[in-house]
Amino acid sequence: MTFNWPDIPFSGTEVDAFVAEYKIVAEELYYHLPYDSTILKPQFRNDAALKKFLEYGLVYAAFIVKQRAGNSGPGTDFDLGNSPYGPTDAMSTPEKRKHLMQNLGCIATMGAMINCWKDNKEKDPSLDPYDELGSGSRSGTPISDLMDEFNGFGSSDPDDPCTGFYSKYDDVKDEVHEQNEVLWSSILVLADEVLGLFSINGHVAVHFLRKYLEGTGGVFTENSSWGRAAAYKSAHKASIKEHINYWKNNSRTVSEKTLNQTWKDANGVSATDKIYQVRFERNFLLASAYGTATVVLSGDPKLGDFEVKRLIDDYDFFYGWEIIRSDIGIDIPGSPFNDLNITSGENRRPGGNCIQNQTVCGAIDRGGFNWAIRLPVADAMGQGCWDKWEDHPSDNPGKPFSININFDNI
Amino acid sequence: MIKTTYLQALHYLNLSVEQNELLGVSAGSSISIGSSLSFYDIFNFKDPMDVAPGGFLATTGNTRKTEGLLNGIGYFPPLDDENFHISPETIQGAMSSVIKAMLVGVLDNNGKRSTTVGIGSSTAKAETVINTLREPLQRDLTVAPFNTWRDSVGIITPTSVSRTNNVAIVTTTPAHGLSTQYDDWGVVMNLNSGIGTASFNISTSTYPNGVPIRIINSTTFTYPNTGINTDWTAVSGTADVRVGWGGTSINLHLYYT
Repeated sequence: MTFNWPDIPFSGTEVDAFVAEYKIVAEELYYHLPYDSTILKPQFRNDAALKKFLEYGLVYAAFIVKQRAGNSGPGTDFDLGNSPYGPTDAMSTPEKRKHLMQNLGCIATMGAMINCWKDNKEKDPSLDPYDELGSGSRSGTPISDLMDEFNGFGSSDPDDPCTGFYSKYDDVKDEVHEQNEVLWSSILVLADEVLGLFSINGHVAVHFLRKYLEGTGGVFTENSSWGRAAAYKSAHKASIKEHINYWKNNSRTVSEKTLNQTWKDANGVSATDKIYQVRFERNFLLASAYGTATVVLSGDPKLGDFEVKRLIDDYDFFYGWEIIRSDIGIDIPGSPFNDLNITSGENRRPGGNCIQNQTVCGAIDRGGFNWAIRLPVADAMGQGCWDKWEDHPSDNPGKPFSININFDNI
Repeated sequence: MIKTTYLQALHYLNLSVEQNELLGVSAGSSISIGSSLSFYDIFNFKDPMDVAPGGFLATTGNTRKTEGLLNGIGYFPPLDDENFHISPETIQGAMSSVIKAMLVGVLDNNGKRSTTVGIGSSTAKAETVINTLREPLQRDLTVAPFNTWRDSVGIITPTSVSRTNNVAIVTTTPAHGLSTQYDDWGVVMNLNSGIGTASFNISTSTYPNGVPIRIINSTTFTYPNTGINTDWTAVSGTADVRVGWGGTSINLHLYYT
């Protein structure tokens, strides 16, 4: 999927050089740079949307450079006649009318019409008094309010997302509890609906989060309950392979890893199998499920086709609970663990020293914000820090688990 | 005639006059019908001073709820996804942020007042773009754009202020010395004496690189400032001068034909 660059209806020494470099940088960013998309503001995490922003943004960026250059020709000042899209007899021919419609995005598909309906309803709610296209039964509920409030979190201070957080969050939480619902459970129902629409990996990510919050611990395997993701194990496996295949030549994203023979023997790793550390960067939903994981492949992906045989990881959080590993023998992420080795995450005990009064927002704060995912995790533990999970006074402060999925028979 | 709003937004066409909240002036749009039909609009950055991306911008209705949920989950759909309606304001805000990031990444001088492609590899430039688009607490503040973007470029001395229709007017002594060759000046006002002067101050928590100003003459400038109309008041304090986006102009007129 290559870029579909627009024509730039003006030229000049500076702007031509800028446009050429813009395209090079955009293509480097989009196709080759293995950045972690989860650390970007949400609007830029979707590759397809980012690509459109880059494509459509070129005209405007180029125009700014053209204006700054101050040389003659179209686009150098505010004279409308010098605008990048010059005025013509716009509607004089069918071709020009079509061009106008296309530029306006006038498309009479069912989806476009629904979008248009919704958009117009925003301007005039009386157009849909029965909310037939609204958010259904949840409209007007505390969760609906929460969806509103998510917009407000952090918006008062662009550099400090914690500002104003607690009052908003506590209000919504209280409202939800008055409805005899648990906030995180309600959030996950919504998240499952939304993320599952984008990809089956959304169901996996939400299922893992639910398991953590239910506090069941243990080891998650191919035979565990996969919830709504159960029907999509094969597709999930395929998407992991697709990610590795795309980034196989980038050593930051896919790097060979050495594990001890004890672990290999215990997990059926053959002499020809290859083990890699895989960062699921540029893949928001897989990154939400695993972050970075260890994956056993049937062969070197650089040398030919391969299969994903096994994936291991610990599902824990630096703003929630973490599993301490010795990395000796089989005591590595993905293996069974003793609950005594669960401790508060790095954001609550930097360098191993508990910050006793660490707040929920403060714990999240250090790593950025995906409110719906991070909030329930940090909020389950609440304010404070504990060296041992079992010392936490709550019945269910969340609990990490390990992941060891054998994909051989999937 | 059905409009696919995301495409319209990407073409930066707003068929309603939009009030630029920060700048305090209206970006315009017009439809003229005569021997030909044409539309035009003005392209302005929503925030003409800072480089940091904004958030989701829907203000009402179900779109705000949808965007709230997406913000909470931390996900953004493909723009042509028919299940989630993203507001034109959010789309345009995001595209503006990408444009700023690309200007910073591609041009020298952090993208300010420059038309020259910067030195360095395309990878390094792409990493600058990514740094610009990061969550606030994920930014590397030691490199572009954040290492220098919000730097002060001078201090001027206000001596009296007034406010009319939510626009503050400031006189300075001596002359402010800002060149009218540029329209990208901004200030962080910090007044410490004079009746009611606190309401004229600018919080860097809200406006990290100040608010844009309009130069009236060599000793007078204005800036958007919500508040009651206020007569001229003698003041003391400082106006910390910043530079935002622009050069000779930040406006762009578009014709759709």
